[in-house]
Parts: sequence; structure tokens; C-alpha cells
Amino acid sequence: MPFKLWGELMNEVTLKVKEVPETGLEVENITPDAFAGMDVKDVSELIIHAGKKKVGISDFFRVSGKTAKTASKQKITIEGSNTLLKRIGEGMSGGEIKVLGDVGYHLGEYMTGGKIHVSGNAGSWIGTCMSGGEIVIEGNAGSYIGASSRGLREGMSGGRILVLNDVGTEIGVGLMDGEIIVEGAASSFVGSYMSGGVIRLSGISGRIGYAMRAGVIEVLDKSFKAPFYFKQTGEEGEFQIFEGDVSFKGRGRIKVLR
Amino acid sequence: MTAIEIRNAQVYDPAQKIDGEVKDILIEKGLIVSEIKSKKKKVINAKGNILMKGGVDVHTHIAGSAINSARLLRPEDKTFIWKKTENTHSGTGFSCPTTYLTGYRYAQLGYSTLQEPATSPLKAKHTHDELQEIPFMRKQALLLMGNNLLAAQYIHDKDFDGLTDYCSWMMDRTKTNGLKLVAPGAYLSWIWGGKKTLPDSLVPKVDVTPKDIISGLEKAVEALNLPHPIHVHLNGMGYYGNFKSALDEMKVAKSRMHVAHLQFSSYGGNSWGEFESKADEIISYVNSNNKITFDLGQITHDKTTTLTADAPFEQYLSFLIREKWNARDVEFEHGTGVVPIHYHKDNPVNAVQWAVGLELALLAKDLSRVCLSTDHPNAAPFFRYPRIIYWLMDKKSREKYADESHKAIADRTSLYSIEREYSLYDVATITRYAPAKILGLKDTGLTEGSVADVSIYDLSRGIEEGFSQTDTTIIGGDVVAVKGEITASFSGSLTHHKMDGENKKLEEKLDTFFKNYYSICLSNYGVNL
Amino acid sequence: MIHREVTCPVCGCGCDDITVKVDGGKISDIRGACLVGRAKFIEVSEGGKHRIRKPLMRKNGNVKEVSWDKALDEAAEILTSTKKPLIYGFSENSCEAVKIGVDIAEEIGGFIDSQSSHCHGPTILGEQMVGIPSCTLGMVANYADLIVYWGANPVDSHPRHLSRFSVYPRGLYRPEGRRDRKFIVIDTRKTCTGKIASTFIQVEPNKDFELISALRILVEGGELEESEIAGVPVKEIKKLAKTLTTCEYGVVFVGLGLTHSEGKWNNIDNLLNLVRSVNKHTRLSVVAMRGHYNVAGFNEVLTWRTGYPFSVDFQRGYPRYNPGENSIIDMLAKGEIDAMLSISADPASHFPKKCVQHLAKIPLISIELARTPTTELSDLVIPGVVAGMESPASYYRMDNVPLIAKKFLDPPFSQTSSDEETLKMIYQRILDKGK
Repeated sequence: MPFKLWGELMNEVTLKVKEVPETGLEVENITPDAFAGMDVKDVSELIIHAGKKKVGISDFFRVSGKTAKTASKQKITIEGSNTLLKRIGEGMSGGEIKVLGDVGYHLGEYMTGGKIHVSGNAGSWIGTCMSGGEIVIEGNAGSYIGASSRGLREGMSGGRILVLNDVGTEIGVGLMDGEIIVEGAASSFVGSYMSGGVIRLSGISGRIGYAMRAGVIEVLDKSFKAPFYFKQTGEEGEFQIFEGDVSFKGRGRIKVLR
Repeated sequence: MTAIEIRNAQVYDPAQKIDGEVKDILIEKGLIVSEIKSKKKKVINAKGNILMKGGVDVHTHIAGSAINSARLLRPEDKTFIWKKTENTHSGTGFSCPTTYLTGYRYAQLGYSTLQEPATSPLKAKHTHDELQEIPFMRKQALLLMGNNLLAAQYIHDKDFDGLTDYCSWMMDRTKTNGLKLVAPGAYLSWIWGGKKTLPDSLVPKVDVTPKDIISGLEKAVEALNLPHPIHVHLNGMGYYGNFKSALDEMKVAKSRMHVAHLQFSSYGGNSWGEFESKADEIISYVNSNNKITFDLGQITHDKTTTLTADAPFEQYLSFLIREKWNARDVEFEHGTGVVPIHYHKDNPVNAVQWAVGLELALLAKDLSRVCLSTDHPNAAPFFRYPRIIYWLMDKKSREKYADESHKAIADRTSLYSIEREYSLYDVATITRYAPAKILGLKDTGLTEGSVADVSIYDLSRGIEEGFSQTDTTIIGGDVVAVKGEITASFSGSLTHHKMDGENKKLEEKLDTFFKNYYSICLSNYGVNL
Repeated sequence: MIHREVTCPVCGCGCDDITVKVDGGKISDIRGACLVGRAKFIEVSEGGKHRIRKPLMRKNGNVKEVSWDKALDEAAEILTSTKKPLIYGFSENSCEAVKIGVDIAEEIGGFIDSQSSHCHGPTILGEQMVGIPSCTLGMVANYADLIVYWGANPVDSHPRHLSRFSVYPRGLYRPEGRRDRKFIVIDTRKTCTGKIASTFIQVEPNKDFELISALRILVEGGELEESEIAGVPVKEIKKLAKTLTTCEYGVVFVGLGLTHSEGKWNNIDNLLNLVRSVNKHTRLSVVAMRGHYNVAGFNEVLTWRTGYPFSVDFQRGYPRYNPGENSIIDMLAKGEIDAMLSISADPASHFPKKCVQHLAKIPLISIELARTPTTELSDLVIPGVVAGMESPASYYRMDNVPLIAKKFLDPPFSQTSSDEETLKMIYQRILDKGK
């Protein structure tokens, strides 16, 4: 799908994966916020974690390019990424990260702005408690997408997540505001504890809207049957509307394609 | 352990009425001495720094099944973490710190004595399992008795000798040091569907009133000559309009009563919408009655955790603020509730609550009866003490804070009209001298022969920052923290009541009850240390 | 010599009222234990035959006996020379041993987990979202007039549960025992427990979630239009809702039927929200049917040490928790662990095939009493001591009541007095390596 991410005034740093150790890498320092205002040389020496060991980015990546002064003008491209790379883009507030390849767990968690684009598949725990920005996954993604962190019934409060293929379970748990769009299908437990925002799916094979109080879930699948704890209230254009989770006196809406 | 000579500190020691005098403090073999005999000694140059005895916390929930259930309930509370170092274990927890972390943070604050106020008799071993791990601190624990069924039975039968023996036996068995009443009678009512317990209402199935329970257990405390008074979390704690029942229950005290977190019991109004401070009426009564001592329970506007044996209140709170709720009913003994809470400064109720605590502290006449506390973590985590001290010492700072909070503070409390500012002597009184005296500790200050629990603060960077981290913390003559870094590793000590001899008759009586009803054997009840 | 009021160190009942007779260092008689517990006492009393008495090491496909020193050295070497080591087990061991296990995992920057992560882990995950109103077993015996077993079959798994704690005891406020209580079993098939219940509700497999939501609609004053939900006629669901809200003190015991069927922690989350709703009307508590006698103790110790109940990751020098990422089953299945110490556990028997295949590839240390499929896969086997019989053991019963299981036997070797001591010796060697 056409996606014009790149503005013209951004500086780009490219990280080419040399190898990813079998321990995996936790790279929460790979964010526009961490790179901005630094020398490229300093970026190479930023700390990432290979299991118990602290290492520098350049130990596992070939670093090249230009850094920007502020996060919003910083673009990072990661080439040769795979599922052993965890915590990319954590807490970022602006700028862009383009990942060529797959990514592991914990992508763009707690981000407040900026854009992340992944050309391959992504793991679980994407955009946890995000409040702004955009995450796009071209492949499949795992579970706990746009969800709350453990123990919280309120999670994502803004921003947008788009997955072009299928996802797993616990999508939009505690969603308060923002958008989660899945062009493929979800497995189970979509929109639990939702209190706002919008989730759109092309299909779902399991449970939906548990403990939902407000917000909208659109299911673009004519064969989908809403659960008994959502009561049909009418129609809106091409959609049938169901309201629930009745067992929580919720007024969330599930819109099903007629 | 090397002798220590602290030079030129500005000392605040209310036990000796020392108010900022610059002097040397000498420590040898873990005690304060008038001269150091050994040749080898460590010298600390404390010029420009202030010095106090180690802090004493009379009411802090640090160990046992309630706090551990809170830790487990709240993975989201781990916004504060402690990395392992050569000298320290790792830990987590903002409002509910793990065991080692609790000791490290208290050491950084310059505290040396802690009282866990709510030990479950059946689960006392759990309290001690955790207390043992908290490093450095001198520890003691209070035993929950205010909703104990057997105690209520003794009170009903007016068998106060029997009650006294039972309490002594219980404290000895559970290695605790005093009696705690949490909303006496309330849990016993609640398990049979009772909603709100008033001081004079009969508790179902036991047919005694909360006042009977208070007065009966006070008799036991006094008969046993316990160092610490009966320690009471009054009925109605936390509810609007509770000040009347609070006064009612305080008046029951014949000898002495320590009221827990008095702030939570000083409210007026007939609904949450009319919530107001009644601190003036409460403190007026306390000022006129020297049988009453209290700790503050001052709130700060933080994300913290309520955990208390006031089980019915916790259920009410969880539905009121729509938060998760853990409850633990313990056979024949007590209940527990855990509910996370986020106090907001722009919430009128939370704003007034914040002012109430300060009003009580500032309007109190006899500070030797006042202890600083936050009922950790119910009102705030304990590491907020420095901020509270700052508000007490600086009218401008508390008014600036009040200006930024909900205007209910101006409309519903008298905070703005209070001129008083605490001096460092006052601070030393409510954080060291008064709590030590009220706990009945042997050493309430830094007289010769006292245990060498000494905290040195550098207040040049400001009151709050200065009190947040000692320059040096010394406990029992060992340097445990220096500018925030932990420099020692030992487990601290425990004080507990010991029963005189044995009581075979009581054990026979209990054995029957245990065999018939308790879910464990009497021989397995209690704690072996 | 007769030892009274000792503990049966097997299931979550943690019965502390057992009497054993010990003659010549062997158990000669047992009174009070159920068949399951009795089997353990007998196994230990005849222990000589089955017990591993000397450390065993596998090198180049050959297994031979080695000295304790060599074994402990090798254990320390394995745990410090690998990148992602994991300490696992403890459910039938002491809290004292757990504490050292945590120390070791923290020191080596590894992981620690127990059976709880894949047993009642989902229950704990549900608790972390909603909270559990719970109670001690003595509350059940003396106060409860409604007993519900949901997805649990205690007649098979915890044989004395009904007689000691739930349905049969003549309690202080339930003097007629069984006659004073309603006894309901909810399960997908009529188990032995279901057969003796006053009401048995058969729920369609994997549909407990829907039954729970239906109950909550009724409890909250709503109505059900359907005639049947989750395979249960709505008439029966209405009856159950009424029973729940009109009891004086009810207790729901949850088992693996809920935690392991479709939905997992969401089933528990849903149930706990139902229990919350019922608590607006009356008192209803939930107790998890913990399997082993000290599985709860592991959670307690780990929580007070790290803030988290299971699946803790120490790689970054402080505890982290993310079940699904750092839990043992997930890590083994993905091949992420490169060394493991297993104590009082038998993962080779119980884990999914993929996990066991990986276990076979990595250095595996077992501290065990007798040969098991896990010891067969191990590279190092260290003789275990029976915690709670041969060494005193602190434990936390299923309702989190702390007790001590007394020692009344000696281990059949002298090099260690307890698994706690064995772990301490390994820990000291690890610390020495660090210096």
C-alpha cells in the first residue's frame, strides 16, 4: 500500500545488522530520541543488551548516515532485522524508524509520537500504552497489540496501529483512544476493557469486546456472529450495530458488515 | 566495628532538649559514648550538617501477607527499581517495595526503627519471614486483635484476666510486641453482611460493641504493662463525616491510646460532595487529652496502594473508585483488603485530605504525642516524609502547593489560616523522640549509653532534598548508607513480647478450639525464631 | 518414635495433622494421610531402593558417579558459563530453598520460574487485573454455606479437601456439616467430585467463559434471552445465579479446568469480575486449588524478593516479569535457554514435546530424589533431600497460610542436610567464581 513516510528534511541513520546473537538483542536505545543531538560515532557506542551483557550498537550493527538535532527530524533505517531484535522504538516521541525485515517483541511501546514501519512480521507487545504516533506492520503480528501493560485495565490513549496481515490475541486491551486496524484476522480477545477508540478487523475467530464499556469495534466479516453479551440495537449504513458488554452494563459498539 | 567520631554536627535531640547545638557525637561498640577509648577511629567531619537520632516509624506496612498480596496484585507499581550491586540485592516497587529495597530506602532516609502495625496471627510467620530480610532496621510488629473472635468472646464474658492471658500468649507465640485494633468489630460484622459499624452497635454473633472491644483490649495492654499503648485504627476510617465516631471511640481510652493515621478519621460532611476537614475539632480534643498519642497518616498526591485490615472499607473503596480489590479473610482473626489508589490534587476530596494531615500536625500543641507517618503505603509511600517535612516547615511552600490544588482547601479547611512553621527541633520530635517514647523504646535520643543510631543530613540543598538522603546513616555503630550508597549488609533485629512462664490451662482450652475449628494444629500455630 | 502433627508434603492441602512412627530411621506407620499422601510416605520409607545417593555426571555419553565437590563445582560452572541459565522447580521444596534459588538466579543474571507459571499462572494473571477476594480454609470450614468447585476435581487431586476444609466439616457456624451447605460442581464431565455434589452443572468444553458472562448478566439484574448458553440450560444458570447471591458466605474453588481451557487467564479475569458483582449482594470468596504443597510458597518468596510471583528475568540486574516471554515453557519452546537447574520438578514428564527436545540439548542439572525422565536427560544429577521429612521446610498452603513441615527422618547421605544447604554450596561457589 502506498505509504509516504519520509519527509524531505529528515536526517537518516542506517543500521545494517551484522549478526544477531542467539541471546537476542534488547535495543530500547534505538529511537530517534536517543540518536538525535548525538554524533554518529556516539550512536555507534550507545548501549544495547545481548542477554546479560552490555554491548555497543556497533558490535552488532554497521552504523552509517547522519544524525539530526531533534527527534522529529531523525529517521532510522534498520536493515536485516529479525525476530531476535526486541524493544525497538520504545518511548519515542517523534521521527521515524523503518525496519526492513521482521522484528521481535516490544515494538514502539509507550511511544508518544513518530512513526515505525516494519516490512516483515512483528512479535507481541506492540504499542503498549502508546499515546501518539503510528506503527505499521506489513506482515503478521503477534499478541498484545495496542494493549495495556500488565495489571492495568487502561492502555493505549492515542495514535494508530496498522497491521496488514493477521494478528494473535489480546488486541486493544484497555483501549481508551486511538485506532487499531487489522487488515487480516484476529484470533481472540479483541477490545477487552475498551473504553474508547476504534478497532477494525477483517475477521475474528474468538472472543470479542469482553468488559467493553465504550468505543467501536468494526468487524468486516458478514459471517461474524456477535456474542450474546452484545445486544443488537439497529443498523448504520452497511453495518449491524450491537451494544455491550451487557454483563458490565457497557455501551461499547460492535459494528458488523451486513 | 570501628569507633566513630562525628565532629561539629548541629545536633537536634529533644530527649536531651538539645536544639541545634554544635557538638561532637562519639560512638564506640555500637553505643553513644562520652569518650572513645580505642586508638583506631573513623572521623566524620559534619560541619554544616545537622544530626539526629535514627528515625522511628511507628506505623508502616512493610512485611506480611497484606503487603505481599499488594506487591503481587500490582505489576504496574514497579516504576521504581533497584539494581543489584556488590553490597545489595535487587528490588522493585514504588508504593510496595520488596523486602531488601524497603531497608535500603529507609536507610537512605536515615531511619533505624520500624514497627509493622498489622500482623495476622495465623500468618504471623509470613510477617517474620519478610521482616527477617529487611536489612539494618530494628523491627517490631503489632498483633491484630480487634476482630479476633476469641478475644471478643472473653470481652463478652467480661473475663479480662482470661483476655490478658490470651493476649500475652498470642504475642509470645507470634513474636509480636503490642496489640493493634483495626476498625474493631467491623470485620466481624461485615462477614455476616453488615455494612457500616458504629461505635455502639452490637457486633452480630459476638454481642459486644466496638467500644467494648477497645476498652477490653486496653485493659489487657495495661495489665501486661506493654511498652506501647493500645494502637487503634478507628471505626469509620476513610469515610466522610467520620469525625464524630472517631471522637466517640477516642473517649473510651482510660489510660492511653495511640490513634493510627488520625488524618483518615478527621472528616466532616454528609456526602462525598460535602467532604470537609474536621481537623480542628479532632485536634482540639487530642490537645486536651494527654492519654491520646497519634501518628499522622499524611497523604501526598501519588499513585499508591491502600492495604488495611479494615476489610469492609476496602470493599467500599474498590467499588467507589472502580479499582481492583484483593481481600483475605482469616479464620477467627481478621480480614484484609488491598486497593490501588491514585490521589489527585485537583480532586476536592483528595485535596482536603492532604490539608487535614497538615492541619493536625500544625495545630497539635504537644508534639511529644505526635508522630510523622503516611500509614505507608496507604496515604503515601514512606519516602515522601522529606516532602511532608518541607510543607510543615515552610508555610509558603504548602500554600503554593495548595494554590495549585483544588480550591476546596480554601473553602473546606483552615490550612491557609495557619501561620505555624515547624522548626528542626519539632521535626526531630515527631520523627524521632515522640515515636520512640510512644513505642516505649529504652533509648529515645542520643544520651550516653544509647544505641548509636545516628543520621547526618546536609540541608544546604534544601529541606526536601536534604532529608531525602542522609550524608551518613549509622545504625548500631555501623555505617549503613553514605550519600545514598548502601555500605553494609546485615539483617537488623527484632523485639517482641515474652510471656511469663507457660500457660498450660490456656493451651488446653485452645487445643480444644483448635481441634474442633481451626484449620491447623495448635502445635503448628505461631512462630519459632 | 512417634512424631505427631507433621506435614504431608504433597498436595496443596498441606495437611499438618499427620502422625508417623519412625523405627530405625524408617517410617513404620502413617496415620491421617490420604492415599496420595500415604504413597509418598511409603515411597520415602522404602526409599533405600529408589533414592539417588551419589551425584552422577554425564560426560561424552557416559554416566558415572562423581564426588559431591566435583558435582557442586560442575553445577556452578554450568550456571556461570552459559548465557541464559534458568533455575526451575521448588513446588515440593522449602521456602528456604526458594530463597537461595532466587539468590542464585540474581547472581548469575539468569531466570527463575516454577510450576506455578503454567499451573495457576493464569489465575495470578487474572488476579493482577481484577483482584481476588479470598479466604483461609478455616473460613470455608466454619463459615461457608455454599461450596462451588469449578474446573477442579478434589476427590482425585486433593483427597482430604472435602473432609477437612469444605463440604463435610462441622464448623463453628455450620455445625451440621454437609447438611448446612450447598455443594455445587461445575465441570465439562461428571468427575468423582461431580458425582457426590448436590448440583452438577455440565458446561460445554471451552465455554466456561460464556457461562460466567451469562451469570454476571443475571447477577447484575439483567435478563437472558437465550434458552441455553455454554451447553447449560438458562433455567439452571438462573438457579445458580440465585444460589450465588443468596448464600451467607460462599466459596468458589477454581482448578485447571478454567486456567487451561480456552481463554485461560481471561476465564479467571471473567470469573473474578463475576465474584465482584456477587460481592455487592453477599460475601463470596475464591480459592485456587494449588497443586503442590509449596507452590504458593514459591510465589510468596519470589514476590517479596522481586515484586513478581513467577517467571522472573534477572538479565538486566533487576527483576523483570513478562509471562509469555520469560516463562519457562515459552523460552524452552523457542530454544532460548542454554542451561537449566531443575529442583523438585519433572519437566521431562510434563512439558510439551518441543520443550523436552530442547532440554535434551542443553546442560541440565537435576536435584532429585529418584530417577525420573528428567534425571535421564540430565547432565548432572545431585541427590535431593526430602523437604518436609528429611529436612524442616517452611511452606505456604494453598490458602497462603504459612506452616513448617517438621523433620522426622535423616537423608540417606551425610554430605548435605537439605536442598537449601546444597543450593547454598552451589551459590557460594558461584560467588567465589565472581571474585
